[in-house]
Amino acid sequence: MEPQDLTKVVLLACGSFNPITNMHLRMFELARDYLEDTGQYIVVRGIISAVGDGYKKKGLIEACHRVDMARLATDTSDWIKVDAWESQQPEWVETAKVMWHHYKELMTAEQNNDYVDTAKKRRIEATKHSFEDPSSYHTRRGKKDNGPQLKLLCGADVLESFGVPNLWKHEDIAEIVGRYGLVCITRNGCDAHKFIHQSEVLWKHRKNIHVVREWVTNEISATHVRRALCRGQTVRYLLPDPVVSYIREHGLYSAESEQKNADVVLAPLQRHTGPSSS
Amino acid sequence: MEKICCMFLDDAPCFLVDNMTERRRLLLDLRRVLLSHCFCPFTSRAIDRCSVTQYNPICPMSESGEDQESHQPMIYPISGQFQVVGGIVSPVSDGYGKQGLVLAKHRIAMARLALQSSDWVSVDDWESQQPDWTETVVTMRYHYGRILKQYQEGTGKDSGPTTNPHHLTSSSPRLKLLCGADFLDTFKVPGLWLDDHVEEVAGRFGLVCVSRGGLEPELAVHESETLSRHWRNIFLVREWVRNETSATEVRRALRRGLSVKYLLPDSVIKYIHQHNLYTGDSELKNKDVLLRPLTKQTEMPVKTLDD
Repeated sequence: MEPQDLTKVVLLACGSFNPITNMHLRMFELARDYLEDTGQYIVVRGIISAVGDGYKKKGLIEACHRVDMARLATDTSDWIKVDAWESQQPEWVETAKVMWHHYKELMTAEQNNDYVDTAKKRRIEATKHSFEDPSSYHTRRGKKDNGPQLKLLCGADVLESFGVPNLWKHEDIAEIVGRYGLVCITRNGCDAHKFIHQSEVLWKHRKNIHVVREWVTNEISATHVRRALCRGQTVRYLLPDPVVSYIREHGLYSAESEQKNADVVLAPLQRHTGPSSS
Repeated sequence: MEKICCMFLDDAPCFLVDNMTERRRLLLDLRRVLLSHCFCPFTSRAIDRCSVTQYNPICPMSESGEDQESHQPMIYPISGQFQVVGGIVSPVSDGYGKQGLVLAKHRIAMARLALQSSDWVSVDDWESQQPDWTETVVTMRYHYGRILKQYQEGTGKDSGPTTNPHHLTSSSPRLKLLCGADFLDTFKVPGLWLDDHVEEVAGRFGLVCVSRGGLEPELAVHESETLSRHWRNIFLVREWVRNETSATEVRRALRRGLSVKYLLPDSVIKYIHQHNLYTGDSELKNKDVLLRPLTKQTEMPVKTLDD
């Protein structure tokens, strides 16, 4: 395929990043390799979007630190960037809304960039589409909307969290996999496929869900990292060096910080089960 | 610096030598091993008792730190026993003959790049410079001699004549072999190790072994007469964060043009690309060659400890 025929993709990873680890960073690299290997996509950007303090997860330290650490971690990357919008919102924001926010930004940026070439682009598009099977047209969102496709990058744990009652709104799951798409990094491909198979909404949009096998087992979970830090053990080589230094300089992650939000209900659960939920 | 410090029973500092026979472990295992070292509960703070019971339910640690009856490997000594003062990475020489082994000069350079930011682990190229492959124990003897000499010169102490290398005073440093659990299994491979050497590595020096994935190091120790006998000298460290970055996978990814960023230090990745290492061709190197230990052991008479 010619470079201009490739669908542009932007990968968005939402999460606590408490703290960011090498595993998070690996996910981006694995996803990019996988998508570009299909010969259909070109991954143009990766976005790390740390959750706001309003999420109220136990042990979640201040967003400003989590964002700063993510910035340090992505310093050496030329395509992964940190976006602080979500982290700055006063209340927790649903993932689908975060995606919509970034999607709008991408569309705006794309339109601005392509202003000069719009005419040429329309000619190219017109020629291509005349040979296309109409039924495949809908899946080529990128070209149709003149912007890159935004996909949610996540681990298998997020995929499986779709099944946790009251954690996700049904319509949000449908939007994420239907309108955008999912790139799920997992050690165990079988479990992920099984989960998709057993869910009606996921099955319906299975073409939009890319399961990427991680052959190098890499279970550096932020929980383990925090535990090690609380015990005065080193986390060198689990996190990028600048992040390790930052944690030490600011004295982050202690038994005390782990107790933060200990008795508080997670924001999504509060919102989806409370009287104000739709 | 995030070293965990403990005092050895009699205040002896100890060095770790990582004689990774898998020389192509581009410091992924180094990282894992260092990581495990740092997770090693040789700490002056409280030991994680849960780890102890889970890991070795048969042999609860008494206050003296040993169970004389059951010859189980000593998993977690009582706190405050060791002070790790240095780490040495010793890449094998090209004579090892393992498939896919790239030139020692590259492996040394990459190790140095990866360890630039470490203030306690260093790379030593003595072994890689030897014309033929050197047995692990020979490398250890070399390093131990060097360390002792440095220590004596440094402290001005005379810890006894070096003609009797077995006599260690309470304050002279110890040298231990740092390895992964898969390494313990190599003791079983026929022709790979000389019995005397296993005896010396486990008995005279000691092992610090990091568990890797599903392998069970206790089993490997249990199945070996020699290792079992020296259980006091074998420290098994559990790596709770499963991180099985294997050099084999990294080389595979490189051959396929896939990213290895965040698996290796950036400086090492850059070096690999600059020198175009790890290609389909490099993996074929030594394809039909017998591993040197297997040919050497049958050629020469058994080395004695007085070597």
